[in-house]
Amino acid sequence: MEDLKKYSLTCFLDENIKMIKEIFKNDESINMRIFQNQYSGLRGCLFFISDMVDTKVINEHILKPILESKVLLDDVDLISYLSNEIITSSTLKCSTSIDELVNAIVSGDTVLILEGYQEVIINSTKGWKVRAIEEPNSEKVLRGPKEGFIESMSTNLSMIRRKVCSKDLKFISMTLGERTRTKVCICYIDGLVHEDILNNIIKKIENISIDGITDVKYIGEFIDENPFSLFETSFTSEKPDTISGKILEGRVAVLVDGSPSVMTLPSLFIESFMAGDDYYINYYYASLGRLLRILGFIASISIPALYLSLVSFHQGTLQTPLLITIYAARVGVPFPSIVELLILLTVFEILREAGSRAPSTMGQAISIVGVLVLGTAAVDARLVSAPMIIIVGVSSITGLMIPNMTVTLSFIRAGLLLLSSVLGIYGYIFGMLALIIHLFSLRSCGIPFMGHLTSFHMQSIKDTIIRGPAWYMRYRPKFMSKDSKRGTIGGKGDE
Amino acid sequence: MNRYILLIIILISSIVLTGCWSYKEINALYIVAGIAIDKAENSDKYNIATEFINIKDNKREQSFESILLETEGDSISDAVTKMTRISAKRAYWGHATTIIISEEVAREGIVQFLDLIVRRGEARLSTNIYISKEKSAKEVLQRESFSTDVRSFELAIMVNESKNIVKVPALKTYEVINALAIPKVHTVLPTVKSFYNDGTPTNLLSGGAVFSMGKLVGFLEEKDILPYLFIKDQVEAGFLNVEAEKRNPNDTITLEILGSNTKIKPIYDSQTLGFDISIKTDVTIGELTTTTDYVSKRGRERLKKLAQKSLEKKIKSHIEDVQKEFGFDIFGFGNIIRQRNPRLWDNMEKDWDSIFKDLDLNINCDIQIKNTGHYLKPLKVVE
Repeated sequence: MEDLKKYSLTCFLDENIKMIKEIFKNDESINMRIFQNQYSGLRGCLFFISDMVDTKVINEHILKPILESKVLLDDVDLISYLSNEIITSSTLKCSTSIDELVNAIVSGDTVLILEGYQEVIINSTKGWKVRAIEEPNSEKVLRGPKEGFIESMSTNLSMIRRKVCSKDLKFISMTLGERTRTKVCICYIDGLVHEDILNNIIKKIENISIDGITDVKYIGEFIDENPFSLFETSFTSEKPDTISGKILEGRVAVLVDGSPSVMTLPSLFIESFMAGDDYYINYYYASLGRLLRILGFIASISIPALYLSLVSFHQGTLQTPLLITIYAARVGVPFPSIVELLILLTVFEILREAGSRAPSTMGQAISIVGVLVLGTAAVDARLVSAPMIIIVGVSSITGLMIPNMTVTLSFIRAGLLLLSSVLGIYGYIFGMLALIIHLFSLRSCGIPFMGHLTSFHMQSIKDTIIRGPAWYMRYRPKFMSKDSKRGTIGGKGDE
Repeated sequence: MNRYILLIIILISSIVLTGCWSYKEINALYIVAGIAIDKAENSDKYNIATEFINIKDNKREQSFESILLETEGDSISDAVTKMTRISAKRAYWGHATTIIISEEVAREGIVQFLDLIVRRGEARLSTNIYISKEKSAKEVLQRESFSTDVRSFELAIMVNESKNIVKVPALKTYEVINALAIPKVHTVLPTVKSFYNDGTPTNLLSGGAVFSMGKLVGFLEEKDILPYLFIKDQVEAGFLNVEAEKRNPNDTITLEILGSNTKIKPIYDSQTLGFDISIKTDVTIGELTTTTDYVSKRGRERLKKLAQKSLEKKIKSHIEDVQKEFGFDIFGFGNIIRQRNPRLWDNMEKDWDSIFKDLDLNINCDIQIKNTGHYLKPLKVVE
C-alpha cells in the first residue's frame, strides 16, 4: 500500500477520475458512473465494484435523490448538504483520504466524488451473495440448534448477538493481513472475561504479521504457545450455540471474515471430548458419551501398542486359548507383527485421507475397496493375520470418535507402537508417561491445558469427564472467568 | 543446541540400553502344554516327553493338535536342550500346565525338577504336578484326550476347574515347594492311572501320591481321598455316600456337599496330646433310593445322625490306616502345634512320628441338610 502515498485528491473531478482509474488500472470489475444534475448542472461520479454492491441502494438512495433534487446551491457546503439532506442510504462517511477511498471501493462501498470538492462521500452499499445458514457438516447433532456459521462475519456476529442479548457482549474489530485486509473480530462478555487473558490475546493478534489470512486457523497457529506440540491449544467450532456457551464461561471468541469456524481461547484438553449436543440430551447419556470418548482416546492410542507388546514380548500374560488363537492366525504370515501393524495403520491413514478428499459419491466405493479388497483379501492371502485387522480397525474407529484430534491420535499411536516394538510393555508405559507429562506442561493463554482433570472436587469435574446436570453447574470454570457465579446474582455488568 | 543433543543421547540410550530386548515373534515359538518325565530303561538317563501345541494349517481354517517329542539326556535340562537341535521353533514354557512324573523317578525325588522350574523362570510356578501310576509317565501324554485336543490341558482343567471332583488333591508347583520347607509336613500329589473307555485307553485322575521330603513314599487309594480332604479342609463340593442303616441295608443315600469347614484344635496337658477335629458341612440330598422317610423333619434328623456317624467312621478309619501304614503325619497336625505352641513343638519335633502314631483324635461332624434337592418326597413306587 506504499504506492498510494504519491496520490492525493484534488478539487477537480476529471483529475480525480483519472487518478482513480490509474490506481485501479487493469481492473475490469471497477464501475464508474458519471452524472450531472439537470437543474444546477452539478457533476459527480460514483465508483464501485460490480457484484460487491447492492445496486438497488445505489439507484434508489444515492443516484435518484441527487439527480432529482432541484435546489443545489453553490454557496453552501455541498458535501454536508448532500449527506445530511439528500442521500437516503443509512450509513455514509466523508473523507479526504485516498487510503480510505480505495479501501472503501475494494470492500464493496460506493464512493461519490463531486466536481469542485476534495472531500468524497463513502456510502455503505455492501451487498453480495452469501451462503444460506445450514447445519455444519463437521458437527452434526441429533438435538439442539442446527444453525451453523457461514463465511460472512457480519452474519456470524449477528448469530452470536442473537444468542447473547446483553449489552456486555463486546466486539473488538481489527484488520489482519497486509494484502487481504481481512476483518477480524474479538468477541467476549465484559465482566466475565479476565482482562489479562483478553489483553494478552489482543496483543498477540495485533502482533501477527502476515500477508493474507483466509481462516481462523492461521491466527490459532500464530498465537499457539506450544507451536511444536501435537495438541492444538485452541478450540474451533462452527456452531453459534457452542461458541455462545464458551463466551458465557468467560472465554474469548475470535472470528475471521470469510471463515465459518470460530475459535475460542483459552482452551482445555477436555473440550475436544465435548460434543455439541452434550448439553441438550439427558445428562446421564451425555456423561456416558463423554466417558466413551475418553476411553476411545485411550484405546485408540494404546490398542496396537499393547497388542504388539503382548504378542511379541509378554506371551505369558495372554490366556492360553487366546494365545493359541493368535498363534494359529499368525501361521504363514510373512511379516513380523510390527511390520504388519505399520502397514495396516498406513493403509488406514490412506483410506481416511482418500475418503475425506474424494467426492462424497465415491466415498462408498472407497470403503468397499478398503474393507473387501484390502481387508478380507489380505487375510485370505495370508499377507496379514486376522486379529491384526481387528486391532487396527478398533483403534482407528475409536479415533474417529474425537474428530478434533484424529491426526494427533495417529501420530501418538504410531509413536507408542514404535516404542513398544523395541521395549514391549515397558516402552508403552514410557511413552504414556511422556505423553502425560507433555499434556500437563501445555498452556493455553496461560491456563493449564489439562485444566481441572486432576481435581477430585465435584464442582471442578462437573463438566469434564462427565456432564453434570444443568442445575448443578452453578459456577463457571474459576481460572478462566472473573466472575464465577452463574445465575441471577451473576455478572457484574448485569442489572 | 548442545542441550538438545545431550537430551537425544539420553533418550536413545534409555531405549536401547535398558529393557530386555526380547522381541520374539509369536509364531517362532512352539507352545509347550506339558511334560512327562521318565527314567530311560536300563540306564541313568532321563527320558522326557514334551507335548507341544501344533497348528494344523489347512489354508482356510486353522485347528490345533498336540504333538509329542521325546528326548533323552543326563539331566532334565540336558534333555530339554536337545530339543533345540530337533526343532526350529523355540520351546516356550510359559503356558505349560502339567508335569507328569513316573513312579520310578518320583521315588528318587522330585526336588531337582522343582528347582529347574524355579531357576529357569519361564515355566510358571502354578504348573500342576501329577504322578503316573502306570509303567511310565509318557503313556499319560500318549493317550488320546477324551474331551479336549490337548492332553495336558484336559488334566489342568479337570484339576483346577471342576469343583465336583473331590477325588484329587491338586497342588501347584509353588505349593509343593512351600510344603518342602516346613518340617514334618508331607505333601500329597494327584495320581493318574489308565482307564479303559470302551476298549480305548484314556486317563483317570485317581487317588494321591504321598511324598516325604520330596520323595514318593506311598499312595492313597481312591476311598482315602474324601476323608483326607475333610481333614485338610479342602472340600468344596462333591458327593458323600452314607452307609445305610442296618435295618434297611438296601437303601442308597448320597448327599451332595454344598460347602464344608474343618477346624482342628490341639488339646494338650502335661501328659497327653490330642486333637479336636470339628467338621461343619452343608449338604443337600443328592440321591435317595429308599422307602424310609428321610424327608420329614424327624426323618431329616435321623438322616443327619446317620450321615454324621458314617462320615466320622470314615475319617477315623482313614486316620488309623495312615497311622499304621505310613507312620507319619500326612495331615499336618504337627504344623498346627508348631504354629500354636512353638516351644512345645521344639520338644516334640524329634519324636513327632512316634507321637503321631498314638494321637488321641476326637472327631465331631456337624452335617446340616439344607434342602432335599428339587423334589420333596422319595419317589413313590406302587407294588
